[in-house]
Formats: sequence, structure tokens, C-alpha cells
Amino acid sequence: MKFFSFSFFAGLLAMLFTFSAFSQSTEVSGVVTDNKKNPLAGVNVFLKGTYDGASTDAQGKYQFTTLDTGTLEIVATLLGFKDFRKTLQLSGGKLQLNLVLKEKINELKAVTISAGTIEASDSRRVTVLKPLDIVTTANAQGDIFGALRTLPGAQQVGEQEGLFVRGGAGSETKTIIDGMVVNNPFFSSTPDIAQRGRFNPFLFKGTVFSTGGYSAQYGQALSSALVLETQDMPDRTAATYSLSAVGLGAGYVNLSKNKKTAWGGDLNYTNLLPYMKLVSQRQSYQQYPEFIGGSTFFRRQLRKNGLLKFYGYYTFGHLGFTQPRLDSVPSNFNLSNHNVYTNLTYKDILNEKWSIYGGISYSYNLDNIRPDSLILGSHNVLFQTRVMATRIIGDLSALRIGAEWQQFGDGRSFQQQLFGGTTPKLMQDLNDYLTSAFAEYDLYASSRLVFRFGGRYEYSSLLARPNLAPRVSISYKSGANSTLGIAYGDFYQKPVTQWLYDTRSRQGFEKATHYILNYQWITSAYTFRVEAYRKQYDQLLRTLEPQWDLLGGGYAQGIDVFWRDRKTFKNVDYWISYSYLDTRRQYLNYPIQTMPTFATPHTATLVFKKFFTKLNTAAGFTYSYSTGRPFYNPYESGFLTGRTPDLHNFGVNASILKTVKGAFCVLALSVTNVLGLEQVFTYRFNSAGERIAVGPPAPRFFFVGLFISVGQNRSNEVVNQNN
Amino acid sequence: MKKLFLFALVLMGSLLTNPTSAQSARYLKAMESNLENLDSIQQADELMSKASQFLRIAEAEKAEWLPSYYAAYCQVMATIRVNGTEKLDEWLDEADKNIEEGLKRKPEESELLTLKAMAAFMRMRVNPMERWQKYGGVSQENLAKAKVADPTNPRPWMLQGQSVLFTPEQFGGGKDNAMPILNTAIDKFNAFKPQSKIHPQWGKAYCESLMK
Repeated sequence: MKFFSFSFFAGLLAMLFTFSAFSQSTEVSGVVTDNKKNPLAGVNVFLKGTYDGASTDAQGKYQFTTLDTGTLEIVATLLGFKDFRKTLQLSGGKLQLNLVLKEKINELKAVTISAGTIEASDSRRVTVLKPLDIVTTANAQGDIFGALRTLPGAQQVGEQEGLFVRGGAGSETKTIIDGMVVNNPFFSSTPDIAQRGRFNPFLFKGTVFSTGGYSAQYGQALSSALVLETQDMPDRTAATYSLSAVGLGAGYVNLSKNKKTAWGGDLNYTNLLPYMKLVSQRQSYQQYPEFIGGSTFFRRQLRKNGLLKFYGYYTFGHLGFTQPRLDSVPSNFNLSNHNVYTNLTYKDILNEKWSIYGGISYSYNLDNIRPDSLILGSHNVLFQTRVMATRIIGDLSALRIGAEWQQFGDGRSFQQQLFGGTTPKLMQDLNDYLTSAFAEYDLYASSRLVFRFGGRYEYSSLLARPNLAPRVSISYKSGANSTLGIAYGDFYQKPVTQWLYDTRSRQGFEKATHYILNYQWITSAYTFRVEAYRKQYDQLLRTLEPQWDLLGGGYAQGIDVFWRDRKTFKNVDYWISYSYLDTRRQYLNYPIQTMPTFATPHTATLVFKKFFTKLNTAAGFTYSYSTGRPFYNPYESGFLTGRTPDLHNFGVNASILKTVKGAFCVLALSVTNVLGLEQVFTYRFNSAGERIAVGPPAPRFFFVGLFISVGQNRSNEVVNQNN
Repeated sequence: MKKLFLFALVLMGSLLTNPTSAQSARYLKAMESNLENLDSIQQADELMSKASQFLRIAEAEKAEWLPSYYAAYCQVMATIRVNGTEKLDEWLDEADKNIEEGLKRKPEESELLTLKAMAAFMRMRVNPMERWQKYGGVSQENLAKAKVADPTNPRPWMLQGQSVLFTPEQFGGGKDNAMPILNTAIDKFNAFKPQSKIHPQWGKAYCESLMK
């Protein structure tokens, strides 16, 4: 006990007292600047663990006094900057301390790859298009592809489906959902009638429409990639119903109480009989187009940041019509189709450095087509697996490495009805195993300058050849809202499947090389974007006997301009796009290099939307104009020398929003080609040498639809339980 | 010697605990002086620097939720005062961060949940057409939770009334639908007794102005 002597305690107590007795005030002051010596205002400068501190004034100056002494940490914080921390020894008097804050490289503020990319998503705050824009654009008819046709770079091709981008054929654009290729994104082709896309725009939270120079993550598209990302968790449990001039549908989305699991689906039935009885069509139908199908989804949050998603889609459709007479004998066309698309993906952020993605997908398409006396069967199957790992390096730079396996099978059968009998069935099929690997490095030199270096390797078992495609893209943030970008890349694609049945088509990949120069200026109110490009085509397939080889080629060059303004006029949002295109190519049965049938030099679109707040009505119009396109006249000596007349399409739409007894209702109305101007997509010639214009199936398409959404509002549940 | 030892222990104990209670008085004083002129601030940047003052206290007083609450309150209020929508998301991100910090310190606090609803409501301003569904839901949900967490709190009722008042009649809004809710809010305001001088007690005057 002696050890704890009184003097020991006395000493201890004295020590404790000295802390407060000797404390004296220190005046801390200084200037806070960024690393370019610009003063920073509103910086919170304080001593950690005390209340002592101050905010900097407009000159970046701060000053405060503290009674604390000893070792203390001074902290300076400002939005958009990294916290500054420094340990100080305070012992009274005056302390002059100038601080320098480093800008925080913010993902949302940092420059992104802009060349060739038009993004429509909610994840970034400033984008060219938002998902909702797709369904509120006149002439788009609620179709994703229809809306994308109002953007620069896309051609106005009315007689067949597909996105024809910058002098590229429709087959040169690939649609990708959650990383997985969609083999049949459109309803099956019918002669001279463009088909809609299969997928509901509300399925997707983000759309990246690449008009060229796209990422090494994707391949097998010479011109363009449309990258769609499905929704994550829905906002709430809800049921939806739709009733329209062409069919009806119902859907249900369930969100679990803990918001970690969601499931749902929809069923749709479309029958154009009533509509086509009312609005006469160019074709006369023996089987009115009828579609029945549905989709289902399941999403589950696993671990903290993991998300498992399943999406399945099935639709059956059939139709049959007699085409306008080309020759004395009218021609019949009958089609029935089954289509399946499924997609299972998992993505997870493992830690601050690593994130992973994996997915599998199965799709199947079967067409039975009976043009006149022919009986054609065609089916394709695609099974794919994809994995990707992303490693974040530093604040923003990222390295992505991935691989993809696609097992593709295609089969076709042929029979003919002759003299009351049927010829034996001829059957053919082919298989291809496409193995791909890619790496892409986004290197941020600063938050204003990013380099993207990418490479993609592919090996096709059918072609028995590999390809290696380098891709480079650079973006520089030239001002607070403006970006300059350049891009270069090689793109390879297998020749279109129907030609691959001939072994001479399997000599290699078709190739395109893109060069892109881009400038864009985006604020929350305005978007201005201009892009110049040159695309070189090599090794295009030629099928003009006896020249069946991959010695075709050509080029496409031009300028795309886009302007969008949401501010100048109250409650008005409008955009203008213009594309200039100069392209020539020799491919398939083209004897010379010339402008292809799907291209035209000038295309312009004006989309206008106005919201009438008092009426809760959104109304708008879309006017698109394009110069004439080349058509083939067998009675003329030149090849594709004729030009169709200019094409005008002025469509209007309106949606009226109303809540009826808690149900959210939208009444949508739209009409294409209101003025009823004659539209000529191309001409066909009969054996007598007579010219027949190919236009839309009817001068106008009218749409009336009612969409009802009944949400189960969980907040009301809570309130009701407690009242 | 033993007694002396005990005495020393008691003395030490009181010396060691004393600073905290002294600090607590200091805490109250600091909060009170910060709150003094809060209602009179009209400028967004002044509100943001007021938020900084509360953040300094929040940093020092890890157990208190009120400094985080007021920091977030200032940040949300600053978004109302600022023109344009460019800074809005950034500031509301900060506000949400402080609300979450507050909820960590005092889970299910009605006032914090009310503020969370307010922040979500303010986010709709950036793009109402696209955001109403998501943030409207978040706002509704937190107001409902706030009412459950403290049935005497008038502020969630006032905010709900305000939101109904400014919703077009076609969507179930308008004055007729808002008045019963605002009346409930006023009744609750009249009965409301803040726990202390520094606990939230704002909104009555605004609520009355809504009812005119």
C-alpha cells in the first residue's frame, strides 16, 4: 500500500489540474485554396473533437480561436473536394495555416467516353435521352427502335426493320440486353413491312446507343451496338393493365417487404383484325396478325451489393396476307413464329477494388414461312455465357477483363407444293462456336482526361479463323459542360447467317474501321452534339456469281448534329437531329461500288413535346425528313441509279394522365403521317416493266391505348395499420 | 491511508466525469447559439455554412443526433433557396448522408424520418416527370414511418398536407383534400411540447400560412 503514497496522488491531481489551468487560447487563421491557388469559399475548417472552427469567406479566409491545447487534428471539408487532415500542436498564440484542398474525382463529374455514344439512362444525371422520352415521342409508337430513329446517325428505312446506322445495313447493329446478345430483337420479317422491336421500353433503366466506335466489351457488329440494361428493383408492388386498338395486356410486379426480392411478369394478346377491318391496308389479310406472349422476371439482392436477375420472354405470332400484285398472279405470304429469349445474370461489387459479372442466356426462334407454293422453315438457337471482372485502379481508372462463349445453331428446311403434291423436305444446318476475350482499360489522367484502350479477340469455329480488334477512345473535358472526344476501332462480324450456308462465304470476317471526332456540350437544359466520322469497310461478302468472295468493301463518312432544348419555351422539350451521310459500298450482288438502297445523304428530325400542366396532358409531334434513296430498276442500264422521292413523315401524339380512385391512368393517342402524304420507301418492278411503289401498309397508323397502373402503396398500409 | 485512497479515487472520478458534464453544458450553449438566428437566414450559402457549424458539433458529439439533424435541415432548406437545379442533387446527397448518420445515433427518430421525406420530396424538383414515382414513394414511405415513430409529431402531417395541397385535383390533391390533413397537423402543433429548447419545433407558422 505504501506505493500509493499521498504524494503520488497529489502529483496526479496536479497534473490533471494543469490541463485546464494552463490552457490558453490559440488563434488559428489562414487561406484555403485549391491546387491552382484559387480561393475556396464555404470550406468548413475545424479542430476535430472540438466545436472550434469556421467557414471560409469568399476570399477563402478563415479564422477562429480555440482554448484547447496539445495535439489536435485540423480538418477542412468542402463538397467536391477531398477532406484535408493535419495534426497540429497547439500551445497558445497565433497560428497561421494555409490549406490546399485537392479536388475529389467524382464519378458523376468526371469526363466519360463520348465519341460514338448516345446514352439514355437514369444513372447519369445529364444524358441525351431519358427512358421516358422513348415512350413519349411521336412516330416512335412506343418502340425503342422507333425512338432511336429520331437520333442522328440512324436512317429512316420504312420497308424493313432494323437500325441502319451511318451507312451500315440493319444486320450491322447488335442489340444487347444485360451483356447478352439478342439474336432476334424484332418480330419476324414480313415483306415490305417494318416490324417493331419485341421488348417493352419500361423493362430498361438504361440505353446506350452507340453509333460507332463502341467498347471492346462487345463484338460482331460492324456499325452499331444498342446496349440495354434492365431495371433493378421496382419502386413498389403494382399491377398494370393495357387496352388498346390492337390488343390487351396485364402485368404484375411484386416487391417483397424487405425490398430484396422482386418478381413479376406480363401477358399480352395482340390481334389486328378489328383495327385492320376499320383502317384499310395495302395487303389483304387471310390471317390477321395475331400475337400472344408474355414475359417473366425475378430479381434478388444477394449479399450487400449483389444482384441476381432473370428475364424470360416468349411470344407466338402468325399472320398471312396477299401482297399487291406485282405480276398477274397475286403473291401470298404466311408466317408463324415462336420466339424465346432468356437471360440470367449476376453482378456484384466484391469490395472497393473488384466487381464481377456473370451471365448465361438461351434464345430460340422458329419461323415457318409460306410464300406462295414454298414451305420454308427456319430456326436458330443461341446459347451464350459471359463473364467479366472489373478492377478499379486509383479513384476512377478501371480495368475490365472478360470472356464470352456463344454457341450458335441455325437450320432451315425447304419444300415446294407442286401439282397438288409436296416435294421432299430439304434440310440444312450449321453451327458455330464463337469464343471471345476482351480487355479494356479506362485510364484517367485526370478527371478531365480519359483514355480508353481496348482489345477484343474472337475465334469462330465455322470460319476457322480468329480476329483481333483494337479500340481506342479519348475524351477531354474542355469546359465545365463540354467534352471533346476521338475514337478509333476495328470491328469484325461474321457474314450474315443465310450466306454462311455457302462455304465460300466462310473465308473470313467482314471488317469495318471507325474514326470518330466528337464535340458535345451538355447542361441540364440543353444538349448540343456534333460528330464527324469516317468508316472504312473491308472484306465485305460479294455474292454475285461467279464472284463469291470477301473482296467487297466501301466507306461511309458524314456528320451528325443533335440539339435538344428543354428550357427556352416553358414546358416544352424539343430536339433536332440532322445527319449527313456519304457512303458507297460493293457487297452482296452489287456489281459496282455505289450508294446502298438503305442510305440517303440527308436525314433530319424534329421532335417536339409540350406538357400542359392544367390539363395533365403531354402532346407533341415528330417531323422527319429524308432525301430519296437508291432503288433497283432491272429495266435500266445503270445499277441503283434511280432515287425515290423525298420522304416526309409528320406524326402527332398525346397522352393524358389522370388518377382515378388511386389508379394511375394514361390515355395515349397517336397518328403517324397526319397529312397523309404519299410515302415511297422503294419501288418494285413486275415483268411487264411496270413500277410499283412500296410504302407503309396504310397511309396512317392510328393508335389509341389506355394504360392503368394500380400500385400497392406500402406507406398507406403503414398509415392504415396505425390509425 | 485507505480512506485517503478512496477519497482520491472519488476525487479523480469526479474530475474525470466532470469534463463531460461541463461539455454537455457547452453542447447546449453551442447548439442554442447556432439555432438562434437559423430562422432568419435567407441565403443558400449562409445556410450551407450554418450546416458546417452543426457538422462541427456533430463531429465532436458522437452520441448526439440533433447536430446531424440540423446540419441536414440546413442543407435541405438551402436547396429551397437556391435557383436552378444544378447543385440540388449534390446538396441533398450530403443531407441524406447526415440524416443517415443521425439515424445511426438515434434509430427510428421521427424528426429524422420527416427530414428524409423532405429531402426525397426536394429531389423531384430536378425532373418531376421522371422522378415522381421513385422519390414520391420514398417521401410517402418515410412520412408514414415518421408518423408511426412519434404520433405526436406534427411535421410529417404538415408535409403530407403540403404535398397533397400542391398535387393537382385530378391526382387526388387540391385544397379540399389537403385541409383535413393540415387540420390534424395544426392540432398536433398545438399539443406539441418539444423535449428541450434545442429539439425541433419549427413549422407551425408555415402550416398556418398553407391553410390560408
